[in-house]
Amino acid sequence: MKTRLLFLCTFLMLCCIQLNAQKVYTKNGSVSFFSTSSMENISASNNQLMSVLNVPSGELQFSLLIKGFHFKKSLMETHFNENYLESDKYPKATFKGKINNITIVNFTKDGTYNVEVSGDLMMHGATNKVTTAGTITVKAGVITATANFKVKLSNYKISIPKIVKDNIAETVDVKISCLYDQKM
Amino acid sequence: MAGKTTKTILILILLIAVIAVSIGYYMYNKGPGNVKNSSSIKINAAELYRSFITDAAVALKTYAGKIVEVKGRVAGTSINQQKEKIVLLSTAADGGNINCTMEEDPGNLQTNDEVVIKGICSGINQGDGELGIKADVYLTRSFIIK
Repeated sequence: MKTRLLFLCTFLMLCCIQLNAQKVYTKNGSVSFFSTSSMENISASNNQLMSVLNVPSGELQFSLLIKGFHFKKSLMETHFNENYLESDKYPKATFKGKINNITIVNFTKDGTYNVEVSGDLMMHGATNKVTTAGTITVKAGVITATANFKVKLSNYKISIPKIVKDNIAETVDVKISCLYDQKM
Repeated sequence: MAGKTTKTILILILLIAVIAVSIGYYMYNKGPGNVKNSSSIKINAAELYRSFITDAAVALKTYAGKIVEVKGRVAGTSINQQKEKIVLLSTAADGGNINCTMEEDPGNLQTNDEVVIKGICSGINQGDGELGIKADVYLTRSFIIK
C-alpha cells in the first residue's frame, strides 16, 4: 500500500513538473522575406522574433519589431521603414494563432511533424487570417518550429508607388523559424 | 564656331548625365552604414530599458533606428539560428534585457563582465505578462567597443 502511495505521489509530482514546462519561448527567432520580380530580387531578415508556444494546446504567438529587418542596400531599408511599413507609426507585427493538429506531435519523441497553423497576422495596422503549413521538429527535447507563407502587400494596406511597381512583388514569401530554447 | 559650341554643350550634357547616373547607381546600391565608426547616443543599459518602459512612444522616437552605445553588465550569451552571437545586458528589470545581435564575435564574455556595446536600436518587443516573460530592448549589427 505504501509503495503504491509513493508511486502515485511521484507520478503526480512529475506531472506538476511537466505542467510547469508546458510553454516554451524564444526571444531570438528568425523571420525573413523574399520579393521576386522581373527587375530584381529583394530579401531582408530579422532575428529578433519573440515567440511563445503552448505545447499541449498548440497556441502560438509571435511578435517582431519592423525596425529589426535589415537589407543589403541601405536605401531599401529606408524606403521599407519610411514609405511602405511606416515603422514609426506601426513598430510591430504580431501573429496570434494555433497549431490546429497539435495532437499529432509527440513532444517526447525525436522527429519532424507536419502541422497546420492558423491565426491572425497583424501588420501595418491591418489584421488578416492566415492559414499555412509548417513543421515542428523535436530533437533531444528541443522544439523548433518553421513555416513558410505568402503575404499579399495590398491586404496590409502597403501600397507600392507606380515608379517601383516592377521592382517589388505584389506578394512576398515569408519564412519563419523558431528554436524554442526557453521553458516556463 | 557654332558647331564647336554645340559639340562642347553636348559633351557637357553627356558628362552631367553620366555623373548623375553614377551617383544614382551608387546611392541605390549603397550598403549599410558603418556602425562601428558612426556617431552614437551614449546610455547605460538600465536607463535605456527604463526609457522604453516609462514611455515607449518617446523612447522609440529617441532611440529606434539610431546607433546607440550601451554600457552594461553581461547577463548571458547565446547563439541564434544564423550562428550569430547574442549578448544580453542586465537591466533593473529581472528578465528584461538589452538583447544585442553581434556583428562580430564578442570573444569570451563572462556573466557580469562590464562591456560597452554599440549597435542599431530596433525598439522594445513585447513580453508575455501572463507568463511573466519580460520584454527585451533589441540592438542589431552590434560591436563590443570596450
